[in-house]
Amino acid sequence: MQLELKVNGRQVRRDVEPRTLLVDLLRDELALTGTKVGCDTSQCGACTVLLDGHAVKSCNMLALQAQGRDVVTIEGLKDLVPEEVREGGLHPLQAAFWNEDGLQCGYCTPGMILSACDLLSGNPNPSEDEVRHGIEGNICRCTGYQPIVFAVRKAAGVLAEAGIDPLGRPRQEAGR
Amino acid sequence: MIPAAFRYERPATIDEALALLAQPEAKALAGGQSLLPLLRLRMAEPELLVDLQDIADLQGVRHDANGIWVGALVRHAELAQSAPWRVLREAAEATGDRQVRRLGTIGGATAHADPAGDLPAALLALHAVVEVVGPGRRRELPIDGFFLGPLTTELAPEELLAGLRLPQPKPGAGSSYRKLRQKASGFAVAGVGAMVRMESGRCVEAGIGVTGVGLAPYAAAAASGRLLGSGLETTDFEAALELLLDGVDVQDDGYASADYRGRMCRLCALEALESAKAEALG
Repeated sequence: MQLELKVNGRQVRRDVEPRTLLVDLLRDELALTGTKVGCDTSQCGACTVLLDGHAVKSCNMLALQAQGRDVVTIEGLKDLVPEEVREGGLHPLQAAFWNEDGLQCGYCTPGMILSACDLLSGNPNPSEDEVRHGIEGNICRCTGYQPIVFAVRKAAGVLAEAGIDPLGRPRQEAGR
Repeated sequence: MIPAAFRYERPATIDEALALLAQPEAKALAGGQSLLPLLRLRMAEPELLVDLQDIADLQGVRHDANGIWVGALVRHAELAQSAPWRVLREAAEATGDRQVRRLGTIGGATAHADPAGDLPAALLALHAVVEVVGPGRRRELPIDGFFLGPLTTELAPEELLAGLRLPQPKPGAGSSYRKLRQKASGFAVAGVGAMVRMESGRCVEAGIGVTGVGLAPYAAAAASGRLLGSGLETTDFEAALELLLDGVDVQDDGYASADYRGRMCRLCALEALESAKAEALG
Protein backbone atom coordinates (compact mmCIF):
# COMPACT_ATOMS: atom_id res chain seq x y z
CA MET A 1 0.00 0.00 0.00
CA GLN A 2 1.08 3.58 -0.62
CA LEU A 3 2.53 5.24 2.45
CA GLU A 4 3.42 8.87 2.75
CA LEU A 5 4.88 10.43 5.86
CA LYS A 6 7.49 12.90 6.98
CA VAL A 7 10.74 11.51 8.42
CA ASN A 8 13.28 13.91 9.88
CA GLY A 9 11.70 16.78 8.00
CA ARG A 10 11.71 15.05 4.60
CA GLN A 11 8.63 13.83 2.79
CA VAL A 12 8.91 10.07 2.21
CA ARG A 13 6.85 7.90 -0.16
CA ARG A 14 7.03 4.12 -0.18
CA ASP A 15 4.97 1.16 -1.24
CA VAL A 16 4.76 -1.08 1.84
CA GLU A 17 3.15 -4.32 2.89
CA PRO A 18 0.51 -3.59 5.56
CA ARG A 19 2.37 -5.74 8.07
CA THR A 20 5.54 -3.62 7.84
CA LEU A 21 6.45 -2.28 11.26
CA LEU A 22 7.51 1.35 11.50
CA VAL A 23 10.94 0.32 12.79
CA ASP A 24 11.53 -1.89 9.75
CA LEU A 25 10.55 0.92 7.41
CA LEU A 26 13.01 3.23 9.14
CA ARG A 27 15.90 0.79 9.29
CA ASP A 28 15.50 -1.34 6.18
CA GLU A 29 13.87 1.02 3.70
CA LEU A 30 15.23 4.39 4.81
CA ALA A 31 18.58 3.15 6.19
CA LEU A 32 18.03 5.07 9.45
CA THR A 33 19.74 2.49 11.60
CA GLY A 34 20.12 4.75 14.62
CA THR A 35 16.75 3.36 15.74
CA LYS A 36 17.48 0.01 17.36
CA VAL A 37 15.58 -3.22 17.82
CA GLY A 38 16.32 -4.58 21.27
CA CYS A 39 13.71 -6.96 22.61
CA ASP A 40 11.27 -7.16 19.70
CA THR A 41 8.54 -7.64 22.32
CA SER A 42 7.85 -3.93 22.89
CA GLN A 43 9.37 -3.81 26.35
CA CYS A 44 12.88 -2.36 26.03
CA GLY A 45 12.26 1.00 24.34
CA ALA A 46 15.38 0.85 22.10
CA CYS A 47 13.15 1.46 19.06
CA THR A 48 11.64 4.69 20.45
CA VAL A 49 11.11 7.50 17.93
CA LEU A 50 9.09 10.72 18.02
CA LEU A 51 5.69 10.63 16.34
CA ASP A 52 4.23 14.14 16.07
CA GLY A 53 6.64 15.08 18.86
CA HIS A 54 5.71 12.24 21.24
CA ALA A 55 7.81 9.18 22.10
CA VAL A 56 6.41 5.92 20.70
CA LYS A 57 7.87 2.47 20.15
CA SER A 58 8.42 2.04 16.43
CA CYS A 59 8.51 -1.76 16.79
CA ASN A 60 5.02 -1.63 18.28
CA MET A 61 3.24 0.15 15.47
CA LEU A 62 2.62 -0.44 11.80
CA ALA A 63 4.30 1.89 9.34
CA LEU A 64 0.81 2.54 7.92
CA GLN A 65 -0.38 3.86 11.29
CA ALA A 66 2.10 6.71 10.74
CA GLN A 67 0.48 7.66 7.41
CA GLY A 68 0.56 11.45 7.07
CA ARG A 69 2.38 11.90 10.36
CA ASP A 70 5.70 13.40 11.34
CA VAL A 71 8.45 11.04 12.55
CA VAL A 72 11.77 12.10 14.05
CA THR A 73 14.56 9.60 14.69
CA ILE A 74 17.84 10.09 16.50
CA GLU A 75 19.42 11.09 13.17
CA GLY A 76 17.08 14.06 12.87
CA LEU A 77 16.98 15.19 16.48
CA LYS A 78 19.72 17.82 16.27
CA ASP A 79 17.91 19.58 13.43
CA LEU A 80 15.03 20.46 15.78
CA VAL A 81 17.16 22.97 17.67
CA PRO A 82 18.97 26.03 16.30
CA GLU A 83 22.65 25.62 15.50
CA GLU A 84 23.83 27.87 18.33
CA VAL A 85 22.19 25.56 20.89
CA ARG A 86 24.04 22.48 19.58
CA GLU A 87 27.30 21.38 21.13
CA GLY A 88 29.76 19.81 18.71
CA GLY A 89 26.87 19.50 16.29
CA LEU A 90 24.79 17.55 18.82
CA HIS A 91 21.36 18.22 20.30
CA PRO A 92 21.68 19.28 23.98
CA LEU A 93 20.30 15.88 25.07
CA GLN A 94 22.90 14.03 22.97
CA ALA A 95 25.66 16.32 24.26
CA ALA A 96 24.59 15.77 27.87
CA PHE A 97 24.62 11.97 27.44
CA TRP A 98 28.12 12.32 25.95
CA ASN A 99 29.40 14.64 28.68
CA GLU A 100 27.83 12.77 31.62
CA ASP A 101 28.78 9.29 30.38
CA GLY A 102 25.09 8.47 30.04
CA LEU A 103 25.96 5.45 27.91
CA GLN A 104 28.34 2.54 27.74
CA CYS A 105 27.45 0.19 24.90
CA GLY A 106 25.10 2.81 23.46
CA TYR A 107 22.43 0.44 22.22
CA CYS A 108 19.63 1.92 24.36
CA THR A 109 20.81 5.50 23.87
CA PRO A 110 18.79 6.65 20.84
CA GLY A 111 15.56 5.43 22.43
CA MET A 112 16.54 6.73 25.82
CA ILE A 113 17.23 10.20 24.39
CA LEU A 114 13.95 10.36 22.49
CA SER A 115 11.96 9.32 25.58
CA ALA A 116 13.81 12.00 27.55
CA CYS A 117 12.90 14.41 24.78
CA ASP A 118 9.20 13.64 25.30
CA LEU A 119 9.61 13.96 29.07
CA LEU A 120 11.32 17.36 28.85
CA SER A 121 8.81 18.77 26.39
CA GLY A 122 6.08 18.26 29.01
CA ASN A 123 8.19 18.93 32.09
CA PRO A 124 11.10 21.36 31.59
CA ASN A 125 12.65 20.80 35.00
CA PRO A 126 11.98 17.25 36.22
CA SER A 127 13.14 15.99 39.62
CA GLU A 128 15.30 12.87 39.78
CA ASP A 129 12.19 10.78 40.54
CA GLU A 130 10.31 12.31 37.64
CA VAL A 131 13.18 11.48 35.29
CA ARG A 132 13.24 7.89 36.52
CA HIS A 133 9.48 7.54 36.02
CA GLY A 134 9.78 9.36 32.68
CA ILE A 135 12.24 6.87 31.21
CA GLU A 136 10.61 3.76 32.70
CA GLY A 137 9.88 2.50 29.19
CA ASN A 138 13.58 2.29 28.32
CA ILE A 139 15.86 -0.40 29.61
CA CYS A 140 19.62 0.06 29.98
CA ARG A 141 21.72 -2.96 30.91
CA CYS A 142 25.05 -1.08 31.30
CA THR A 143 24.92 2.18 33.16
CA GLY A 144 22.75 1.50 36.18
CA TYR A 145 20.75 4.57 35.04
CA GLN A 146 22.45 7.07 37.36
CA PRO A 147 24.48 8.90 34.67
CA ILE A 148 21.43 8.83 32.39
CA VAL A 149 19.38 10.63 35.02
CA PHE A 150 22.21 13.18 35.46
CA ALA A 151 22.38 13.68 31.70
CA VAL A 152 18.65 14.31 31.33
CA ARG A 153 18.66 16.88 34.12
CA LYS A 154 21.78 18.52 32.69
CA ALA A 155 20.13 18.82 29.29
CA ALA A 156 17.04 20.30 30.95
CA GLY A 157 19.26 23.09 32.28
CA VAL A 158 20.86 23.76 28.90
CA LEU A 159 17.46 23.93 27.17
CA ALA A 160 16.03 26.18 29.88
CA GLU A 161 18.98 28.53 29.40
CA ALA A 162 18.31 28.61 25.67
CA GLY A 163 14.60 29.23 26.34
CA ILE A 164 13.44 26.33 24.18
CA ASP A 165 11.94 22.89 24.68
CA PRO A 166 13.75 19.82 23.26
CA LEU A 167 11.75 20.09 20.06
CA GLY A 168 13.11 23.60 19.57
CA ARG A 169 9.87 25.40 20.42
CA PRO A 170 10.20 28.57 22.48
CA ARG A 171 9.22 28.16 26.14
CA GLN A 172 6.50 30.47 27.39
CA GLU A 173 8.09 30.85 30.80
CA ALA A 174 11.51 29.83 32.03
CA GLY A 175 11.51 26.67 34.18
CA ARG A 176 8.44 25.67 36.12
CA MET B 1 8.95 -11.08 14.62
CA ILE B 2 7.00 -9.99 11.58
CA PRO B 3 3.22 -10.38 11.76
CA ALA B 4 1.41 -12.70 9.38
CA ALA B 5 0.09 -10.89 6.30
CA PHE B 6 -3.21 -9.03 6.53
CA ARG B 7 -5.16 -6.40 4.64
CA TYR B 8 -5.40 -2.93 6.13
CA GLU B 9 -8.24 -0.42 5.93
CA ARG B 10 -8.64 2.98 7.46
CA PRO B 11 -12.34 3.92 7.51
CA ALA B 12 -13.48 7.47 8.22
CA THR B 13 -16.81 6.69 9.89
CA ILE B 14 -18.26 4.20 12.37
CA ASP B 15 -20.61 2.81 9.71
CA GLU B 16 -17.73 2.12 7.34
CA ALA B 17 -15.81 0.48 10.18
CA LEU B 18 -18.77 -1.76 11.08
CA ALA B 19 -19.15 -2.84 7.45
CA LEU B 20 -15.47 -3.83 7.41
CA LEU B 21 -15.68 -5.58 10.78
CA ALA B 22 -18.51 -7.72 9.41
CA GLN B 23 -15.98 -9.41 7.12
CA PRO B 24 -14.52 -12.71 8.33
CA GLU B 25 -11.45 -12.55 10.57
CA ALA B 26 -11.50 -8.76 10.79
CA LYS B 27 -10.06 -7.03 13.82
CA ALA B 28 -10.28 -3.44 15.00
CA LEU B 29 -7.02 -1.57 15.63
CA ALA B 30 -7.03 1.38 18.05
CA GLY B 31 -3.61 2.32 19.50
CA GLY B 32 -2.29 -1.17 18.89
CA GLN B 33 -0.29 -1.38 22.11
CA SER B 34 -1.82 -4.75 23.02
CA LEU B 35 -2.68 -5.94 19.51
CA LEU B 36 0.72 -5.35 17.88
CA PRO B 37 2.57 -7.66 20.30
CA LEU B 38 -0.08 -10.33 19.67
CA LEU B 39 0.31 -9.92 15.91
CA ARG B 40 4.07 -10.17 16.13
CA LEU B 41 3.89 -13.31 18.25
CA ARG B 42 1.31 -14.55 15.72
CA MET B 43 -1.07 -15.24 18.56
CA ALA B 44 -3.47 -13.15 16.49
CA GLU B 45 -3.63 -13.62 12.72
CA PRO B 46 -6.51 -11.50 11.42
CA GLU B 47 -7.13 -11.27 7.68
CA LEU B 48 -8.16 -7.65 7.90
CA LEU B 49 -7.08 -4.88 10.26
CA VAL B 50 -9.48 -1.97 10.58
CA ASP B 51 -7.52 1.05 11.80
CA LEU B 52 -9.95 3.30 13.68
CA GLN B 53 -7.72 6.35 14.09
CA ASP B 54 -9.48 8.57 11.54
CA ILE B 55 -12.98 8.14 13.00
CA ALA B 56 -13.98 11.46 14.55
CA ASP B 57 -16.96 9.95 16.42
CA LEU B 58 -14.61 7.85 18.55
CA GLN B 59 -12.50 10.82 19.70
CA GLY B 60 -12.65 13.36 22.47
CA VAL B 61 -14.35 13.89 25.82
CA ARG B 62 -17.82 15.41 26.06
CA HIS B 63 -19.78 16.64 29.06
CA ASP B 64 -23.57 16.54 28.85
CA ALA B 65 -26.65 16.08 31.04
CA ASN B 66 -25.97 12.33 31.27
CA GLY B 67 -22.47 12.84 32.63
CA ILE B 68 -19.17 12.46 30.83
CA TRP B 69 -18.58 10.61 27.57
CA VAL B 70 -15.02 9.50 26.85
CA GLY B 71 -14.37 8.45 23.26
CA ALA B 72 -12.82 5.03 22.71
CA LEU B 73 -9.73 6.58 21.08
CA VAL B 74 -8.78 8.86 23.99
CA ARG B 75 -5.21 7.96 24.83
CA HIS B 76 -3.77 7.03 28.22
CA ALA B 77 -1.42 10.04 28.17
CA GLU B 78 -4.40 12.37 27.78
CA LEU B 79 -6.38 10.62 30.53
CA ALA B 80 -3.39 10.80 32.87
CA GLN B 81 -3.27 14.56 32.34
CA SER B 82 -6.90 15.57 32.32
CA ALA B 83 -9.40 12.82 33.17
CA PRO B 84 -12.21 14.22 35.34
CA TRP B 85 -11.73 11.53 38.03
CA ARG B 86 -8.49 11.02 39.92
CA VAL B 87 -8.86 7.23 39.86
CA LEU B 88 -8.80 7.40 36.07
CA ARG B 89 -5.81 9.74 35.98
CA GLU B 90 -3.87 7.48 38.36
CA ALA B 91 -4.81 4.26 36.57
CA ALA B 92 -3.86 5.79 33.20
CA GLU B 93 -0.50 6.95 34.57
CA ALA B 94 0.08 3.45 36.01
CA THR B 95 -0.51 1.81 32.62
CA GLY B 96 2.49 0.56 30.64
CA ASP B 97 5.18 3.16 30.13
CA ARG B 98 5.49 6.61 28.54
CA GLN B 99 5.54 5.31 24.97
CA VAL B 100 2.62 2.91 25.49
CA ARG B 101 0.58 5.71 27.09
CA ARG B 102 1.14 7.90 24.01
CA LEU B 103 -0.56 5.39 21.71
CA GLY B 104 -2.73 3.14 23.90
CA THR B 105 -6.42 4.04 24.19
CA ILE B 106 -9.14 3.65 26.80
CA GLY B 107 -11.36 1.80 24.33
CA GLY B 108 -8.58 -0.53 23.29
CA ALA B 109 -7.63 -1.32 26.87
CA THR B 110 -11.27 -2.00 27.79
CA ALA B 111 -12.01 -4.17 24.76
CA HIS B 112 -8.71 -6.06 25.12
CA ALA B 113 -9.64 -6.92 28.73
CA ASP B 114 -6.26 -7.91 30.05
CA PRO B 115 -6.89 -9.63 33.41
CA ALA B 116 -4.32 -7.25 34.94
CA GLY B 117 -5.18 -4.06 33.02
CA ASP B 118 -5.28 -0.87 35.10
CA LEU B 119 -8.03 1.16 33.43
CA PRO B 120 -10.71 -1.54 33.91
CA ALA B 121 -10.30 -1.26 37.69
CA ALA B 122 -10.88 2.50 37.54
CA LEU B 123 -13.89 2.12 35.24
CA LEU B 124 -15.40 -0.52 37.54
CA ALA B 125 -14.95 1.77 40.57
CA LEU B 126 -16.80 4.54 38.72
CA HIS B 127 -19.67 2.25 37.58
CA ALA B 128 -18.92 3.27 33.99
CA VAL B 129 -21.23 2.33 31.13
CA VAL B 130 -19.78 0.84 27.95
CA GLU B 131 -21.25 2.22 24.74
CA VAL B 132 -21.22 -0.41 22.03
CA VAL B 133 -22.22 -0.02 18.38
CA GLY B 134 -22.98 -2.90 16.05
CA PRO B 135 -24.67 -3.41 12.67
CA GLY B 136 -27.91 -1.43 12.98
CA ARG B 137 -27.84 -1.29 16.75
CA ARG B 138 -26.37 0.52 19.69
CA ARG B 139 -26.32 -0.80 23.23
CA GLU B 140 -25.13 0.40 26.59
CA LEU B 141 -23.68 -2.17 28.97
CA PRO B 142 -22.79 -1.72 32.63
CA ILE B 143 -19.06 -2.23 33.08
CA ASP B 144 -19.84 -4.60 35.97
CA GLY B 145 -20.21 -7.88 34.08
CA PHE B 146 -18.57 -6.63 30.87
CA PHE B 147 -15.32 -8.51 31.54
CA LEU B 148 -16.03 -12.22 31.21
CA GLY B 149 -12.57 -13.74 31.49
CA PRO B 150 -9.01 -13.34 30.22
CA LEU B 151 -9.16 -11.18 27.04
CA THR B 152 -12.89 -11.90 26.82
CA THR B 153 -15.76 -9.40 27.05
CA GLU B 154 -19.44 -9.00 26.19
CA LEU B 155 -18.35 -7.37 22.90
CA ALA B 156 -19.31 -9.41 19.81
CA PRO B 157 -16.78 -9.71 16.94
CA GLU B 158 -18.83 -7.47 14.65
CA GLU B 159 -19.28 -4.80 17.31
CA LEU B 160 -17.19 -1.77 18.21
CA LEU B 161 -16.65 -0.15 21.56
CA ALA B 162 -17.50 3.49 20.82
CA GLY B 163 -16.97 5.11 24.18
CA LEU B 164 -17.40 5.03 27.93
CA ARG B 165 -19.90 6.94 29.99
CA LEU B 166 -18.84 8.16 33.41
CA PRO B 167 -20.69 10.04 36.13
CA GLN B 168 -19.87 13.70 36.65
CA PRO B 169 -17.86 14.11 39.89
CA LYS B 170 -20.16 15.61 42.53
CA PRO B 171 -19.14 17.52 45.65
CA GLY B 172 -17.99 15.13 48.36
CA ALA B 173 -16.70 12.58 45.85
CA GLY B 174 -13.18 11.15 45.89
CA SER B 175 -11.39 8.37 44.06
CA SER B 176 -8.01 6.75 43.76
CA TYR B 177 -6.08 3.84 42.21
CA ARG B 178 -3.34 1.78 43.84
CA LYS B 179 -1.39 -1.12 42.41
CA LEU B 180 1.48 -3.41 43.11
CA ARG B 181 3.49 -3.57 39.88
CA GLN B 182 5.11 -6.71 38.65
CA LYS B 183 8.65 -5.36 38.31
CA ALA B 184 9.50 -6.56 34.81
CA SER B 185 6.20 -6.25 32.97
CA GLY B 186 4.66 -3.36 34.90
CA PHE B 187 1.33 -5.19 34.99
CA ALA B 188 -0.62 -5.28 38.25
CA VAL B 189 0.06 -8.18 40.61
CA ALA B 190 -2.96 -6.58 42.26
CA GLY B 191 -4.61 -3.24 41.53
CA VAL B 192 -7.63 -1.56 43.09
CA GLY B 193 -9.66 1.46 42.02
CA ALA B 194 -11.88 3.03 44.66
CA MET B 195 -14.56 5.73 44.57
CA VAL B 196 -16.57 7.11 47.48
CA ARG B 197 -18.94 10.03 47.95
CA MET B 198 -19.73 11.51 51.35
CA GLU B 199 -22.77 13.54 52.38
CA SER B 200 -22.99 14.90 55.95
CA GLY B 201 -20.29 12.49 57.10
CA ARG B 202 -21.95 9.39 55.61
CA CYS B 203 -20.91 7.43 52.53
CA VAL B 204 -23.72 7.65 49.94
CA GLU B 205 -21.91 6.17 46.92
CA ALA B 206 -19.06 3.72 46.64
CA GLY B 207 -17.36 1.61 44.01
CA ILE B 208 -14.41 -0.77 44.09
CA GLY B 209 -12.77 -2.29 40.99
CA VAL B 210 -10.13 -5.00 41.28
CA THR B 211 -7.62 -6.08 38.66
CA GLY B 212 -4.73 -8.55 38.41
CA VAL B 213 -6.32 -10.83 40.99
CA GLY B 214 -9.02 -12.95 39.34
CA LEU B 215 -9.43 -14.24 35.79
CA ALA B 216 -10.89 -10.86 34.82
CA PRO B 217 -11.17 -7.40 36.38
CA TYR B 218 -14.25 -7.32 38.62
CA ALA B 219 -16.39 -5.02 40.76
CA ALA B 220 -16.21 -5.92 44.45
CA ALA B 221 -19.87 -5.09 44.97
CA ALA B 222 -20.27 -6.66 48.41
CA ALA B 223 -17.25 -4.75 49.70
CA SER B 224 -18.35 -1.38 48.32
CA GLY B 225 -21.92 -2.06 49.50
CA ARG B 226 -20.63 -2.53 53.04
CA LEU B 227 -19.34 1.06 52.97
CA LEU B 228 -22.70 2.66 52.15
CA GLY B 229 -24.19 4.52 55.08
CA SER B 230 -20.99 4.22 57.09
CA GLY B 231 -18.70 7.03 58.16
CA LEU B 232 -15.77 5.38 56.33
CA GLU B 233 -13.96 4.74 59.58
CA THR B 234 -11.01 2.34 59.66
CA THR B 235 -13.29 -0.37 61.06
CA ASP B 236 -15.65 0.09 58.08
CA PHE B 237 -12.76 -0.29 55.66
CA GLU B 238 -11.59 -3.40 57.49
CA ALA B 239 -15.06 -4.93 57.32
CA ALA B 240 -15.29 -4.13 53.60
CA LEU B 241 -11.87 -5.64 52.89
CA GLU B 242 -13.08 -8.93 54.39
CA LEU B 243 -15.54 -9.08 51.46
CA LEU B 244 -13.09 -7.98 48.75
CA LEU B 245 -12.16 -11.44 47.49
CA ASP B 246 -15.53 -13.14 48.08
CA GLY B 247 -16.24 -15.70 45.38
CA VAL B 248 -13.08 -14.77 43.46
CA ASP B 249 -10.71 -17.38 42.08
CA VAL B 250 -7.54 -15.61 43.26
CA GLN B 251 -4.78 -16.42 40.78
CA ASP B 252 -1.66 -18.23 41.81
CA ASP B 253 1.34 -17.91 39.48
CA GLY B 254 5.08 -17.40 39.29
CA TYR B 255 4.74 -13.76 40.30
CA ALA B 256 2.61 -14.24 43.40
CA SER B 257 0.95 -17.00 45.38
CA ALA B 258 -2.79 -16.69 45.86
CA ASP B 259 -2.26 -15.88 49.53
CA TYR B 260 0.27 -13.11 48.85
CA ARG B 261 -1.77 -11.71 45.98
CA GLY B 262 -4.87 -11.59 48.21
CA ARG B 263 -2.98 -9.76 50.94
CA MET B 264 -1.52 -7.26 48.47
CA CYS B 265 -4.97 -6.74 46.98
CA ARG B 266 -6.41 -5.87 50.40
CA LEU B 267 -3.50 -3.51 51.04
CA CYS B 268 -3.99 -1.76 47.69
CA ALA B 269 -7.72 -1.51 48.44
CA LEU B 270 -7.12 0.01 51.87
CA GLU B 271 -4.72 2.59 50.46
CA ALA B 272 -7.03 3.42 47.54
CA LEU B 273 -10.01 3.81 49.90
CA GLU B 274 -8.08 5.99 52.36
CA SER B 275 -6.87 8.15 49.51
CA ALA B 276 -10.37 8.41 47.99
CA LYS B 277 -11.81 9.35 51.38
CA ALA B 278 -9.15 12.04 51.85
CA GLU B 279 -10.10 13.55 48.48
CA ALA B 280 -13.80 13.30 49.33
CA LEU B 281 -13.26 15.22 52.55
CA GLY B 282 -11.30 17.78 50.55
